[in-house]
Amino acid sequence: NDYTLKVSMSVGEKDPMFAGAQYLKTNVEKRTDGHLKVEIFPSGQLGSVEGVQEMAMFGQNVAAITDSGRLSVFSKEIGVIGVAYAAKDYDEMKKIVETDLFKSWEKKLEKEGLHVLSFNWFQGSRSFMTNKPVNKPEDLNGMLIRTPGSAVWSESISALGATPTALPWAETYPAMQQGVVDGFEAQLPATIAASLQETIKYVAETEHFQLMTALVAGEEWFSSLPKEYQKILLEESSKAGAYASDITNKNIADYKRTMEEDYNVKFIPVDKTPFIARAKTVFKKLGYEKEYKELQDALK
Amino acid sequence: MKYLAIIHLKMMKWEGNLAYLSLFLIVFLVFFAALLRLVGVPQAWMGDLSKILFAWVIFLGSDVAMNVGRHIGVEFFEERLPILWRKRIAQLWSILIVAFLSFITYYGWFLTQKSRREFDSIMVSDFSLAIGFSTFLIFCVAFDYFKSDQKNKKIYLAIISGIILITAYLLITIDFSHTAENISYSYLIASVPIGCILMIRTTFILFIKNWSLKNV
Amino acid sequence: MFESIIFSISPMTILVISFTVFLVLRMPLAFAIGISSVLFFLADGSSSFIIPIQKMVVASQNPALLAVPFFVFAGNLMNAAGITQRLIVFCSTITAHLAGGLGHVTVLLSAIMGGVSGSAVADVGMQSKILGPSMLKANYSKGFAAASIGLSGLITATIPPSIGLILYGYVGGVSIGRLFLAGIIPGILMTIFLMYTVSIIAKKRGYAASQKKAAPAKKIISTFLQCFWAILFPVLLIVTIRFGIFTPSEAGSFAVFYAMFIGLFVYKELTWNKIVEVLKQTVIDNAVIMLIISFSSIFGFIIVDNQVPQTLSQGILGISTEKYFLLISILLFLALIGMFMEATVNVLLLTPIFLPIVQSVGVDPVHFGILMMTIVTLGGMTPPVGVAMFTACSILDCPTKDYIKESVPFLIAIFILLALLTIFPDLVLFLPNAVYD
Ligand code: NA
Ligand code: NA
Repeated sequence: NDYTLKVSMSVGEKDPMFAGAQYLKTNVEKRTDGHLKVEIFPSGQLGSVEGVQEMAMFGQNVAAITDSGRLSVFSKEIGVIGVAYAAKDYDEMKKIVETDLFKSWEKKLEKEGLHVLSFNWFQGSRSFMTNKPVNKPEDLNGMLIRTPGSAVWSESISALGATPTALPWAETYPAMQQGVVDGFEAQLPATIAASLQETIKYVAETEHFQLMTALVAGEEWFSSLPKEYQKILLEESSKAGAYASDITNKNIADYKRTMEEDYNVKFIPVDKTPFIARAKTVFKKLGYEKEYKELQDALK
Repeated sequence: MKYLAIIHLKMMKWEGNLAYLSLFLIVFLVFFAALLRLVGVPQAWMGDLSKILFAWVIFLGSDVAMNVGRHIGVEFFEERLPILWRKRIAQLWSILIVAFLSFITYYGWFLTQKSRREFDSIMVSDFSLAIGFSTFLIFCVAFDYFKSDQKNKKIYLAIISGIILITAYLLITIDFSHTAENISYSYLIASVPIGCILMIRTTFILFIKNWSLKNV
Repeated sequence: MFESIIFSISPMTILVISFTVFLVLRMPLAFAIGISSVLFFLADGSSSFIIPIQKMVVASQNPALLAVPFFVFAGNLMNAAGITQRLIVFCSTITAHLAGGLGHVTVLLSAIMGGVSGSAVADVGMQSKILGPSMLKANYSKGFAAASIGLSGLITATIPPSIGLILYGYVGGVSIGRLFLAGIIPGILMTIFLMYTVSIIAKKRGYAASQKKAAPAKKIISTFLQCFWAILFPVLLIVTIRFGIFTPSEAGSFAVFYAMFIGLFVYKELTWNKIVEVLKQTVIDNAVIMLIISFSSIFGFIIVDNQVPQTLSQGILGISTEKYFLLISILLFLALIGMFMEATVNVLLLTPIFLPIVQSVGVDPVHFGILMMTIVTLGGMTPPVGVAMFTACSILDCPTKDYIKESVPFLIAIFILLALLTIFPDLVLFLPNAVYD
C-alpha cells in the first residue's frame, strides 16, 4: 500500500524550510522504498496555514509547517512560546521544545486531530521591519504592523506598542508597496525569500519572537500509517527540522549583509529592556503566567 | 401554496435588504479604514468586519440573483433544442443544483461548527452578541411593519413576541459567556450553508412555479 | 502502469466532460463549475469534502476582491448620477466634425468610462440603450451600430480600473497597480485603431458629420468643464493607487463616495431612491460574479493539488521552449476558448494553468495579463457565443449575421494591434516600469 504526504508551507522555494522539506522527502522516500511519498507545496499553494491545519484535522494527507500561535487555538499551553520574549534566544527556545513538559502539551493536540511530527524547525528570530526608524516601544505607536493572525501574536505586538493587522504572508509585499501597512515583523530568511527587503528602510533588531515552528500532520492520517512508517516519518521529520534550522542559523549573517549592502537597509541595534518589560504584561493578560513559570522550572 | 409564496416573497425582500445594507456598510468601513490609516490611527477591526459582511453579501445576493434568474449561462446551443427538451433539462438541472447545494450546506454547517479560527481584532461576548442580534431582528420586523400597509398588526406583534420569547429561552437555557472573546470565523463561514439553504428554497419555489405554469 | 494512468486521469476526465455538458446545456455557469468540481472530489475519493467549503470561503476573505463590488457600484452610480450623460455630450462635441461622429462617440466613451462600469458587457449594454437609437436615427446601418458599440467595449478590458484585470491579478498573484498602469497605453492605442476604422467605414458609406467644422475651442472647453469631475475620476484613481494612498479596493470605495458626492451635490441628479436602486442592482451584479469566483476556487484548488500546471508545462515545454512560439500558441488557444466561454470564467479557470507556463519561458506576467484579458474579452464579442454581442444585437434588434459582417474591419484592426502588443512588450510594460521602478 502506498502513502503520500503533502507538505505545505507559506514560505517560498528559496527559504531554508523548503530545503528542509526536500531533505525530508529524499530520506523518507529512500527509507520506505518510495512507498511513503512526500510532495512539497511552497508559497501557500494549498491554502493558508490555518486552512491546511483544518484539512489535516479532517483527515487529509497534508502536513503544515505551522507555529505555536496557530496551534494555541487547539492546545492553549503551546501558545506560551509564542509570547514575545518567551525565550531569549535560539538555544533557549531549542531547550524549551525539548522539555517533557512541552512534549506533553504537544500530545494534547492528538485529541484535536493533529499530530506534531517535529517541533524543531527554526525559522529565525523576528524583528520589526519598517520605513521609519524604531528605537523604543513608543516609536511603534500608531504603526500598522502586519502579523500572522493569532491572539498570542497580536497581543504581543500591541503590548510592544504597534497596532497589529493580520494579512496572508503573500499579501505583505503589495501591502507594503501601497502603504496599507507601515511595516511587518518577520525573520530575515522569509523576508529575503519574499523580496520584502525592497520595501523597507529599517530593521529594528528587537528579536521579540524566536520563531520555532512545527511540522504538523493529521492524527487520523498519521495513525493509518504502518507503525514502521510512523517511526521513519517522526525520525526523519526531526532530522529535517534540525537540518533546516542549521541552514537558517548559518545564513543569518549572509542575509543581513545582503540587506545592508545591496538594499541599503539599516539595522538598528535596539535596547531590548523596555520591550521585554512591556511583553511581561502579555503573559498575564492571556493567562499564561502558570505555563511560563512551569517552563522556567522545567528548564532548570 | 399561497402562504408559501407570501413567506418566500417576504424572506426574499429581507435577504435583499440585509445584503444592500451590508454592502453599504462595507463601502463605509473600507473607505474610513483607509482614511484612519492615512492619519495614523489604523483600525484593524474594520477590515475584519468587512470580510464577514462581504461573505454574507455574496451568498444572500446570490439567492436574490437566483430568484430573478440572473445567474448567467450559455444559451447558444440549448436554444437549438425543442421546447420540451429544454424544459426537461432545466428540471434536471434544478434537481442537480439542489443536490449540490445540499452537499455544500451539510459540509458547510459541519465546518461552521468545527472551525476554530478567530478574528483577533474584534472582541465581543456571546451574551451581547445574542442581545444585539435579537434587537436587530426586532428592529427589522418593526421597520417592515411601518413599510407595509399596517393591516396585520397582530401577526407582527406575534412575531416580535416570538423573537423575545426565543431569545429569553436561549438566554436562560444556554449559559452565554459575558467575557469578550475574539469573534469566531464561524460567523463568516455560516454564510455558506445558510445562503445555500435559502437557494435550495428558491430553486424549489421556482420549480413549483414552472411546473404549475406548464399545467395551466 | 496503464491502470494507474487510468486511475489518475479519470476524475479529471469526469470534471472536464461534466463541465462541458453543463455548459452546453445552459446550466448557470457558477453551478456548472461548482458541480463538476464536486464530482471530481466524489470520483477522486481521497480528499475531504470540507475542502470545497474552505476554498469557497477563502475567495470572500480576500481584500483585493472587494474592488469588484465597489467598481460595479461606482459604474452603476455614474449612470444614475448623470455623469455618463455628460460624458456623451463631451464626446459628441469633440467628434462632431468627423464622418460617422456617433461611431467615434461610442469608442471615445468606452475609453473614458474605461472599466468603471466594470465589464465590457455592462458597457455595451449601457451604450446600446443610450447611443443605439441616435445612431439608427442618423441612418447608420444596424449592423454597423451594433458592431461599433459591441467591439469598442473591448477598450474597457484594459483601461483601468478593469474588473478582469483585478481578477487576473488576484488569481495570478500579479500586482494590480502594475496591471492598471499597463492597460493604459494598449487602451489608448485600441481607441485610436478603432476610431481610425470608424473613419474609413464612415467615409466609404457616406455617413455624414453632424457639422462641417470642428467645434470651436470655446464650446469644447465649456462642455469639458461641465463634465470635468467625471473626466477627473479615472485620473484620480490611478494617481491614488500609484502613490500608495489607496489599495485598489480602497480606491473602489473612494470611487463610490466620489460618484455619490458628484451626483448629490455637484450635478444634483442623484436621489436617495436612485441610490437604493443602484445598490440593489449592484448586489445582484456582484453576486453573479462572486458566486462564480467562489465556486471557481474549488476548481483552482484541484488544479494546484494535482499539480496540473507542472504536468502540462512539462508536456508543452517538451514540444518547444521557444518563447514566442509558446506565447502565440497559448494566445491562439485562449482566443478559441474565448469564443465559447465567458471572459471572467476564462480568467479564473485558465490563469492558474497558463500563467506559470508562460512565466517559465520568460514572458512577463503583466504583459501576458493584458494580452489575455483583451483576447478573452474579445471572445464575448464574437460568434458563436458572445454575451456582449448578444446584448448589442438584442437591444438594437439587429440580426447576428449583419453584426458579424460589419465587425470584420474592426476585428482586423484589433488583430493588428494585438500582434503589435505581442511583438513589442514595451508598449505594455513601459508605463508600469517607468512609474514603479
Ligand atoms: Na462603446
Ligand atoms: Na464568442
